[in-house]
Amino acid sequence: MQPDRAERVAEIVERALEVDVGERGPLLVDLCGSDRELFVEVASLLQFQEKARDFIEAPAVETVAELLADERTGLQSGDNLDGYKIVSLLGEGGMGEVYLADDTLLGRKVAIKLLKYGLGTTNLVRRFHEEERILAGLTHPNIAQLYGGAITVNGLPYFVMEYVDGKRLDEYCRENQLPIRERLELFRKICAAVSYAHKHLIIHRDIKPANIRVTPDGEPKLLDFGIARLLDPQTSTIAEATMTFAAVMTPEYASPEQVRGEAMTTASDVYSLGVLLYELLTGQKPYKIANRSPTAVTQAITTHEPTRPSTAVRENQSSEIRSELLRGDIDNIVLKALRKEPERRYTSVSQFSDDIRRHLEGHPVIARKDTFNYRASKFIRRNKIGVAAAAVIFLTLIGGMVATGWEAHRANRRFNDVRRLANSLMFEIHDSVKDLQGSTPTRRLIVSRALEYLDSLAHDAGNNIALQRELATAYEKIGDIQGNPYSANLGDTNGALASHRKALAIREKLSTRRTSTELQMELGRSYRALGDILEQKGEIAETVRDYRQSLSIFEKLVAAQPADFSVQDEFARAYEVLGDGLGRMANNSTERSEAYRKSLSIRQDLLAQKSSDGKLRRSVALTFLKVGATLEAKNPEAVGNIKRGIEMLEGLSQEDPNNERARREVGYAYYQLGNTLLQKGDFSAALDARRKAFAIRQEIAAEDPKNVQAQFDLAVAYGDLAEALSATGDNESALERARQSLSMMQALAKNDPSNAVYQRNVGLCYERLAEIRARLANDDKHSVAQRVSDWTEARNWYRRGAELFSALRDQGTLMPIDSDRPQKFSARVRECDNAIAALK
Amino acid sequence: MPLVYEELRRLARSYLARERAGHTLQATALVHEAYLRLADETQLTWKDRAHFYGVAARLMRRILVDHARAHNAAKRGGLRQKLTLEEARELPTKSNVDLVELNGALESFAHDYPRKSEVVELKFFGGLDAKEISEVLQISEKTVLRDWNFAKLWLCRELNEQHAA
Repeated sequence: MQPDRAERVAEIVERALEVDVGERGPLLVDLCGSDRELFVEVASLLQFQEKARDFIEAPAVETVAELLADERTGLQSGDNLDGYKIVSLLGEGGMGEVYLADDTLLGRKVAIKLLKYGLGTTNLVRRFHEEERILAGLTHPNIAQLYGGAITVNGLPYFVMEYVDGKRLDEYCRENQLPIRERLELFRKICAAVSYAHKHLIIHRDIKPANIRVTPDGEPKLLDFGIARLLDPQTSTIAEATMTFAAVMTPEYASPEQVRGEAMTTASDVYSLGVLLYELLTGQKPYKIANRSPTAVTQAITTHEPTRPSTAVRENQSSEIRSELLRGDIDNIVLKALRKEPERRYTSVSQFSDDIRRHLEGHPVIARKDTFNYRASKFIRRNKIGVAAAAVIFLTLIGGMVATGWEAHRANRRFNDVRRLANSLMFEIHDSVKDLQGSTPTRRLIVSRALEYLDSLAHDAGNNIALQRELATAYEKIGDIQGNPYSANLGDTNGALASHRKALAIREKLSTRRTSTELQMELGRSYRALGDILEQKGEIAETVRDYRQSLSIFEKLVAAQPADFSVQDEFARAYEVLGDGLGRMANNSTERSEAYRKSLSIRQDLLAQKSSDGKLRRSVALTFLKVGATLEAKNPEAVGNIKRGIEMLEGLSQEDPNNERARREVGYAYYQLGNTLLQKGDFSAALDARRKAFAIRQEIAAEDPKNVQAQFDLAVAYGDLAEALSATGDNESALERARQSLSMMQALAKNDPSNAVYQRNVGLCYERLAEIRARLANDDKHSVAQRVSDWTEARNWYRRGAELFSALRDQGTLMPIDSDRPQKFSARVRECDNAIAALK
Repeated sequence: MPLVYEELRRLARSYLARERAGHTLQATALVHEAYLRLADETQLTWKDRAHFYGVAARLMRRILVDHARAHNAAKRGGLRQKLTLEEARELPTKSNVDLVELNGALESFAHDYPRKSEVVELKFFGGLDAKEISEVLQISEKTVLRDWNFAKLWLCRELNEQHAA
């Protein structure tokens, strides 16, 4: 029918319905005129008025409510289905029912999965048989075997599968209180099964604990390839419906591409395995999804960053798993599997599994913490409107909420809301904006708001130990944002000090209330953090005092629990940190190297117990370097220790050639060796060492020209090489290298003008150039004119250095270690002037 | 959408239980309850909510029709039986409307009357009342009622013709 024709029909019918039946005749004649067809059409509709009165007035759901309520495809015990005798109903799911049955022909028990939905078309029936044939071809000890499939007389398809008498994976782990190592090993078997299926071009698509059973002898079996689809792209169109089906059925395990209805690949299984591992280790899901509406689920899966497993465990009081065991490698491994972008996950399930093996064997893993820049850039990409502005709006909103709601709702729930808010402010929002240009005011606001929340929480937390601990942790985080010397911070050292002191006060109080290793360890760490801040303020005496306090806490803990690995580990760290602190004081080198030695010896003992622990080997190696560096250069042990450190670091790097950090550290170690050799006066050996350091850094930089850190390292290495060359007397070559160092550093600084570290290093390059020029100028074999010219060059470099460091001071970004540089450089300028005057 | 389906089935059981116990409950509440449980309404703005109800109704339609189809298949052994003339004359009435057939008729209806068919979807499958529908579709309540009355006539005739044929 033509659209206006249809409209016309409706219009006339509607008007006719509004008048009494008796008046309809004339009305229709009037409206339809001579259009007989129209009249017939309208009349034939009106004829149904009586019949239609109650028609579909009751909602559809009412019609089917009864059916819905007791619907069951309904196989009864004793029923016979094509030779399978039904024993009992095992379970019911979204797609169908699973029965235990006897295979009367072969005399074995089988599981029968009967689908609720019939296969309408012959096309689907054909596909069902194709798929069933392929899946039956999967034979693996960790996959429940599919024996076959058929369609009932009622048109419902069913699968006949190996019956696995076992517990659900998660229940099995929980009931047997499986330690982490065993959970990981169990998980690797699951990976092996999925990987096997992938090799047969089959992805599972619905990996979740309910689909994995563990037999009494501890073998996991993957069930239910019922919705698995072939990887063959030609067949993927029919899969669409099934995919969204699966995504809604078990949304927590669905990958971002799956919930978006995009093509699924083996990477989607990697993701689901990641969720599974997350749950096995933490007992929680990676996302807290407030409700299961499709929007909320999709939103969470596609945009929320999962909480780190170690954090999730720490926040969950009832978790029996210790957070420290997950921190680091496991966090990184799980999060790598859970990345939103398939290409940034593990490239295969077997690579995922191998990384877990490496972790279990104590080898370095390939998973890395998501770099900050990456996260920030992603955040910006996701939020095209001004991020800082959005943060401010957000803050205003919750600010109001807290102000109005706080006193009135002291109920636990509100408390938790604010708690979550404070946490999300600090851990998510702050981290998202911190690297943005011009975000400093926003970050200050975030910090001050978060502090307000925390102070009000502190007021309300009462005597609850868990809450008090959380508060202390939050204050520490704030303190780090304000002024952690080891990461990007707001430069608010006084604020940082205040926050860390609040944290310390809470921890002190807690430690008197309950004797617990955990609380004592936190107290020890808290003192250490306070020391770090004090060092930043240049209050070295207080720094060392706090470091000593921290050491003595760990010392007591060690006395009480000599066998506790993590206590010993912290104890070693406390000695190391004390050594670092003492390094800022004069006349302390004996005590300092003694501290490093103690740290080293504890770590060596630990390593003897855990010889394959890669992290421990690394820290032993780095402590060797520190011991070596603090000994008198003349002491033969100095070079000896450094060389042992180098040897260990090289070993680590060779075992894991892709590990860039390990290679960087080898480079650093050679730099350190060069230092000691320079002090010792062994210039040619020093030059060799610096050349090795340079070669390593050059190699790393060449592999990834976009890696800014590698470029920076290389620029520094040019300068280090110049230093050693100059020491051997080859000032010409030194000059050349120093220039290269400068030009690279300038390029970095130009690219990132707000980065004070680059600025500072440009200044250090000026200094190096000035020093080399000054050395050349001091060479009285050169002509007077040449020497005057060199002095002038030196003077100019010093002047530029003085200007640069003064500018940094004016901007407030001068680092404490550089505090005397503006004056020092100005003095040097005058010295150069004097030398020039003397020569003339 | 099995998740929705499961939830719905669970609610249907409790709905019937309550009804049998003498508590009357509006049938439409069932649909609302099911969806509100699955989507936190308070988080949605009105525009989202309108959209949400639209999606909900469509989803509901699919679930119920799929269900009816499976049920029919099971009952008839996969074969569609021809109804006798007497049976056909009885159809369609309130209680025994065949959702699969109605769904087919609604599809034809949508071809000529897209908005009116949406009204049917929202009311019959989604369980919304006229006021809610008027907000979702941005039309007056009066128009909703007119659309509805016309649609009933049209669909009734269509089903009747099918059975006669």
